[in-house]
Amino acid sequence: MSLQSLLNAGRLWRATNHQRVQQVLSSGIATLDQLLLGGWPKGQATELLYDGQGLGELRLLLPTLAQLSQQQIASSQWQLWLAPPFVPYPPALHDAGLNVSQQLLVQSNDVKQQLWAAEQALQSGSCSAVMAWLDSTQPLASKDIRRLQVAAEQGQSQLWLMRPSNVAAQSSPAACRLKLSAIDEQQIQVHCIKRRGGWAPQPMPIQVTAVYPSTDEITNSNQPTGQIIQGPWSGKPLAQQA
Amino acid sequence: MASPNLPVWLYLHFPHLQADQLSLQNPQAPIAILDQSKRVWQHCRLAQASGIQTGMVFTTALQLAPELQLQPQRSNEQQQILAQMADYCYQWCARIALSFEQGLLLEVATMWRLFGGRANYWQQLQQALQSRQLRFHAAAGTTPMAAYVLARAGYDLPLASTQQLNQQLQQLTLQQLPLSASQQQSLTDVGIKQLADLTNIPMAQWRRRFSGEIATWLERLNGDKVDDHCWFEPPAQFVRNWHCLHEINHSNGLLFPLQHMLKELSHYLRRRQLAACAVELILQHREQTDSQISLRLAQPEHQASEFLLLARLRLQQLPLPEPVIGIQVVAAELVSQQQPATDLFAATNSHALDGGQLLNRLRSRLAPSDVKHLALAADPRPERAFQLVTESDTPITAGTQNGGRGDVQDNGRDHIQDSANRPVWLLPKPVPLPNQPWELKSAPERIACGWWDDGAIQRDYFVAVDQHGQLCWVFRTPANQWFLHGWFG
Repeated sequence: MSLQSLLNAGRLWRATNHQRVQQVLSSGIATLDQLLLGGWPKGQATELLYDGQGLGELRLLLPTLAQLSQQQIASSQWQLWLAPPFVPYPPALHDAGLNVSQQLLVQSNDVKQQLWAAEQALQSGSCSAVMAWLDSTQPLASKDIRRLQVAAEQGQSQLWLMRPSNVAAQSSPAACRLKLSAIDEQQIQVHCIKRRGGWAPQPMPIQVTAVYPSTDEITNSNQPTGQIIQGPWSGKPLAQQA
Repeated sequence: MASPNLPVWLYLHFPHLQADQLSLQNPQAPIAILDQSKRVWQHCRLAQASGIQTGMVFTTALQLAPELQLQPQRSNEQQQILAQMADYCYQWCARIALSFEQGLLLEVATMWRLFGGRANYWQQLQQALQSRQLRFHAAAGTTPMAAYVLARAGYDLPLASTQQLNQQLQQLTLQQLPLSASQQQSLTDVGIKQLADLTNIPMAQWRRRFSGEIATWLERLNGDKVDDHCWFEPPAQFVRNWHCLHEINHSNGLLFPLQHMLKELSHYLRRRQLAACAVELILQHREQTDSQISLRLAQPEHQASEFLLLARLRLQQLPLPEPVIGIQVVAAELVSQQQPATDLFAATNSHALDGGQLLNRLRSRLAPSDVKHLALAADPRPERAFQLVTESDTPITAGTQNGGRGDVQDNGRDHIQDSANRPVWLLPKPVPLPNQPWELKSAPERIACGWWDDGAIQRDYFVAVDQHGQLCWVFRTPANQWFLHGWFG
């Protein structure tokens, strides 16, 4: 019974065989997973390039964030929002399935402090996701992105950098870059400029979660959308009704 | 009552306590401590090498060593250093008393069995004491006073037998005994030169001839009178002082003393298996009142490296208002240590911190108002349905506040129907829109509440799409004005 035969029979386990968990994190949206060849790259930086606020950039992320938030690992896991344009609204996060008490908000005027905070959070391993808006005063330098990428790998945390779409032409060391633009209220045009494991594909529309009930659920379906639904109340103002 | 035959007492005499402690801060400069009559009372090793001796006038001392640093005698500082030494020696001896001024009295006989013999015990104790770099004389004794007298006279007899100790005691001259000048004079007048002469006289004749003080002292020496000792108890708080020889102008200069003191804090915590929730650094200035820097820790910490890092991060942001002449470190809130659960097979991350440590670091470097937690609030009005919590007194750990997704805070959300939709971005204040804008996409949601305080609102909320195809949350007031309140990110 030699060592080799034991190994071959699978009766011996070696510590070097212990694989890391899977290299991609599913995004919760099937078409997006297909586009990204499996999902968000694990422990890497992903850039989302867009202009405006309401086109659905966070609705792409919310399923993943909810999933990360539900995983209870031994040490406490934060999710960090770094210099967002507005305050992330806790009731909306709660409805999406995130654990509100795990959310940390860091707002600082100094870009160096913001970068330091991002690096610390990513390296520490106790922050499962960092969403950062770091391009407010000037575009982020590639070396800073590289540093954040290294930090994310060390701590096995996800980093999503939200940047304006005019930096699409610049090269960036991020593992995955997606350029977003709005088609209509339920679809986003996602142009994947860079992804791991494949050439950049053509832009394609991705359906994101609806935020309001579809027209079928409205009781009075004769009404065209966009008008006030006439209910049991009369059209008179409240003051005259009493 | 006869004295015990074994030398159960050990006295450690530190003749140059304050000077040695100060010279640890500043190894290059010779230091001398002056007493009230401006004579040299203690001196450091360097000063001794230049020829300075106890009792010398300070002008002579300055002539011998021009760069000598002179410091006044501070009795409370002396006591503090003794208390710290007693705390340190507590690892080797259970009964320590600060009965005499410049040293520690230890009852060692009860420790011999634990340490494997008298010689072994002394060896370990000696090593520990020498690592502190304070000069000392150690003498054993059958009574506390006997040990004190020998050590004070400068004899090192930690392992001597009873006969040797008695022999040495008898040979002590009058000047080496702790008697006042008048008492010594009255004894010299009678022709007594050594302690042997004194002990040969029977006790009855003593009281007739001399004052009661010398008699009581002799009784203490012989063991006929037993002293009450106030045994040392280690303090429940950690307090350390550092007296700066030179003023510190820049916050970088504070790091060296802080390193020492935080390392001591870490040892203190480790010995007691405790962790600190807050550390206060008090900086003493010459003119101004003391300034205080408090490091509040989200998670109790016991490692010196973490303390030092947090202190350094905080000090970088802080300009010193005035030069600092003294530093005090106080750690009062101590809780028992908890070991974090770790995974044996996970790949090791050299920068790993757990959640509380990360929060400590972020709060140390960024302004306290920059790091916030999100929390739900039970209020139907959208702008008040959440809270931003900056720093609270109770440590917050992620996922455990009210059970996270659990019970208490969700009551506000459960009453709202499942189809309630809220935007991920909420604007700080509703922005007025010029006219009814865009395409409305959902049924209205009327929120009319707030009558219980002055924030009464009545709004009809809609989800709308703007000309760029972005989803936003708008509302209409009864006066038919439209406002934008949020974006569906």
